[in-house]
Amino acid sequence: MFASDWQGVPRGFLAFSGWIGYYWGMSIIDETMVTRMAELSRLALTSEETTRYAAQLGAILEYAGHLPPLDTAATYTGPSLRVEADEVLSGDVGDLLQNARDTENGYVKVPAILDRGETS
Amino acid sequence: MTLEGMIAALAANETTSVALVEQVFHEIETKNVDLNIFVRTYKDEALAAAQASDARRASGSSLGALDGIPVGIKDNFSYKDHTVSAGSKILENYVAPYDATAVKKLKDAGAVIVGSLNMDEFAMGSSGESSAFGATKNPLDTTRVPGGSSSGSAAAVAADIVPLTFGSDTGGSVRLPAAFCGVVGLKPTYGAVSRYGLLAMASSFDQIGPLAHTVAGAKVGFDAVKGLDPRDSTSQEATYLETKTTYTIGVPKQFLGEGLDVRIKDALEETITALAAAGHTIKRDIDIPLLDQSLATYYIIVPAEVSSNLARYDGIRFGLHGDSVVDSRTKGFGDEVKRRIMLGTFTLSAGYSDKFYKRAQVARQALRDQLDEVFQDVDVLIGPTAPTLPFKLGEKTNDPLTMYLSDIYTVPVNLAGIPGLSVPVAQVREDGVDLPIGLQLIGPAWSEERLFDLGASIEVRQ
Repeated sequence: MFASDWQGVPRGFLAFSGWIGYYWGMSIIDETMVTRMAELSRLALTSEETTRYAAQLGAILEYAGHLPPLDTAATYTGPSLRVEADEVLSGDVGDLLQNARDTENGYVKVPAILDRGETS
Repeated sequence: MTLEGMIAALAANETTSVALVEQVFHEIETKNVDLNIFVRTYKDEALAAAQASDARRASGSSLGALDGIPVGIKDNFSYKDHTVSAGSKILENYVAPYDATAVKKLKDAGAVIVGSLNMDEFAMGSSGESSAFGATKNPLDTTRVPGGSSSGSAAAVAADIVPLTFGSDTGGSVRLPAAFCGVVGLKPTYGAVSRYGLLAMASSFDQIGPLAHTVAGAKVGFDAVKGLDPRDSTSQEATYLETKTTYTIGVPKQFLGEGLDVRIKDALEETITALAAAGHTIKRDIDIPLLDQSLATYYIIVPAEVSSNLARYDGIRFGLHGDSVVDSRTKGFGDEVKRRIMLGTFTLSAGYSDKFYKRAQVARQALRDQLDEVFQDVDVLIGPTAPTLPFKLGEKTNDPLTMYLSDIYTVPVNLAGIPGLSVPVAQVREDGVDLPIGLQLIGPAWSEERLFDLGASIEVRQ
């Protein structure tokens, strides 16, 4: 839901600019990038938070980025899953709606979004 | 009292479930104000459940060993018609519409759920300090952290409030607090315990595990909740590896590197010596190169799963109802949760997912392959659970990367989906307090019985 491309910016350029930033000793993630990640994550940050997260995420990514290129064709196989026919096991739909902000006729009622031009 | 002690006392009619539960609430009233272990308690219904259990025992229709035993569950276990918050403000008023399978199994076994246990918000943390309901304190020294994220689960046992609790372990969240509080904690094989109704953090890592004073107690807890569940397609009914009279035990050289407290290293060496004297074969210098990259791998993949899993908190269907989706999430999530969501959004985003996420997935599989190979030669690996003794409250809260390093020995187990058991083996005196040291036994998938067997031979009751 949140992982999306940068608006209209070619992927190659982003990878390249990230590399340039790294090359010049800049943090791998700057405040502009943190602001963009917050938008995609549906979070609002204060300027103090933006500065702090840029430094902290930069340090974490610097550490995590030290994964060596692996000389292996290993692909993650994940846990084994049982594949079986779907069967309704849950009970009353009413129970599932008890935490909703607003409901109508057995449905969750959501705020109108189209007249605002974008999702809130 | 230990779980085994309580089970025996009930069986011998030396006590009743009602008496045990009344004692639990006496302990909670005395200790919880200082220690902040329970976020919610259920006194009236627990006493009613205890009465029903005593009636069953009197009529010869006991439901088994756990019938009438007081237990605690971490605040991320769905408990029907009870508030479940996962340590977060965003779920402060969320009422679970159904029981987690683990909770249902405990209720069906007659266990008495006395309360929900404090935890780091959405199980993200190594110290118990990121809970929206305040930090849990370590019962052995209230100036120190109990470890996280299952902070209340470990502290409740260490403080002798309940003999058995359950936590969840995504990167060490059962084992680390067990080590810091001097109790036993198991992270089972991925798929051993159903995750249905466990509020998700990173779904390919999360496992529910028991905590108790002793290895024998942890085994009783594990047996009560394990098994196939139609509601979790990753759960399995497994055939567990059989115990042996002696084991080949490997010591990975990557577990003895820089950053390990020398007192923990000494405790490990003493335990290895004792295991050799008991007739087990010790293989030193086992080389598992990718252990050194485990933490980096973990902190790329887990935030990616976190950012996807926590996308569901929109303030509309459930959770804190703010003015908008952004408002609900901004007000509802705490600092560490926001940090990991943004980190995951970044490592999954176009232009970066190849450099981070895909490489980490390759590293994850390569680590599994390396461990599979090692387990051709050894039955069990032994190492420290944590690199340090329990640290002071506030010591690492401003430096997330240093906090993450607490999990350096526990995350490989979750990356590989194999079981790990933390067992207290020694105490060292610091600042006038005896602090516990925990060691970790790691085996291949479905080796829990072997870990319990070997763990019971090295445990030292704190």
